Amino acid sequence: MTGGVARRSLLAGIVATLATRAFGHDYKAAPASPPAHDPLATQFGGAFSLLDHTGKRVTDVDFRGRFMLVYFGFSRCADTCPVDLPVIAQALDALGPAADRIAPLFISVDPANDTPAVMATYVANVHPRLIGLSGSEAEIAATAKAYKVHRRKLTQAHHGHGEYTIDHGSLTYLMGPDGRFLTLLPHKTSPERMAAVLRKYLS
Amino acid sequence: MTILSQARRRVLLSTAFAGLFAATAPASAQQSGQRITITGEISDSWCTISGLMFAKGTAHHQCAVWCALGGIPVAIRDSGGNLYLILKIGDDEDSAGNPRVARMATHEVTVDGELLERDGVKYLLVDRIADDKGVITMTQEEHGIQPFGN
Repeated sequence: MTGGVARRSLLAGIVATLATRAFGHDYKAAPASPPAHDPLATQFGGAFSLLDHTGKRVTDVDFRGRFMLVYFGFSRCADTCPVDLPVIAQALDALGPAADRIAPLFISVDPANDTPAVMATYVANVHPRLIGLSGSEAEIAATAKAYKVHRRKLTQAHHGHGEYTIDHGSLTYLMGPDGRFLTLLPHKTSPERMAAVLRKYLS
Repeated sequence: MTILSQARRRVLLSTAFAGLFAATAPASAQQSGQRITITGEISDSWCTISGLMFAKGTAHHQCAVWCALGGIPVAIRDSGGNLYLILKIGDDEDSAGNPRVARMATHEVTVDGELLERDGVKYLLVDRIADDKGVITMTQEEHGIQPFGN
C-alpha cells in the first residue's frame, strides 16, 4: 500500500501544482452565512445509518456539532478517489488543530467489497482522521441518493476475472454542524483552496 | 485501471507544467438563485479547466463522454469562457446530472435554469434544454480524437 499512497500523493501534488487556476482560483474569503434564498441548501444531504471502519454503526446525528466533509468513492477506485482523497487529506493537514471540528467521511459506493476491515486499511493509508463508512446495498443506495451521487458498476474489456470499476460522482460536500448542506468542493479543487473554503466556514 | 485513469495519468505525467489552465469565471457578485439563460458547450470540468485533451469540439467528444460518465462534474462553458457547473437537469432527483448530461457532451446548447454561486463557483440547476445544436465545433482534424484516437 505504501507505493499506492506514494502514487496518490504524487498525483495529488501534481494536481495541486497545476490547479492554481482551477475552480474559484480567485476565491476570496467572504461571510459564511448562506444567502437568504438558497436552493442549494435542499439539494444535498440527509439522514444515514452506516457502519464505520471499526464496525460501529453510526448515523448522521452522531456527527452533530462537527462539520462533515463528505466524499463518496470506493477502495478499488483508480480514477477520482486517488486524486480527491489526498486533496482532502492535505486540506485537513493545512487546517491544523481546527480540523478537529471536521469529520471527514469517505462513504463507499461499493458495499459488497468495502467491508469495515477493507475500509479500515484504506482510510488509514489516506489520512488518520478519515472515517470510512459502508453498509448494506440498501443503506448505501439511500445515502447516495440523498447526496445525488450516481454510481454505476461496470467491467471493461481489459478487466480480468472479478475486476470491475464503479463510476461515481466526485463532488465533496461540506455539511454544517447541524447536518445541513453548506457548500460543494468540486473535483479539481486544490488543497489550498479547499483549506481556504473550510477555514471560512469554520470561522 | 480504467481507460479514464490511464488517460488521465498519462496526461498528468506528460503535462506537469503550469500555464495550461484556462481562466475560469471571475467570482462576480451575482445573486444566488438568479434565473438565467446560458448558451455554450457542454464539457467535463476536469478537461475544461486544465486545458488537457484539447477540451473543445469533436476532438474532445469521446473524452467528454467518458469523463461525464466517470463522475467528473460537467459544466457549460459560454463564449466568454465562464464555467457553469451543472448540478441538476430537469426533474432528475437522483444524481447531480452526470449520466443524463453525458448524452449531450460537446453539444452547443442553450439552457434555462437557476444560477447559484457558492464560494467562487457558479452552479446551474437546469430547468430545460431550450436548444441543442449538437456538436458544431469541428476540431478533430486539427487535434485528433482525444485521448486515444478513433
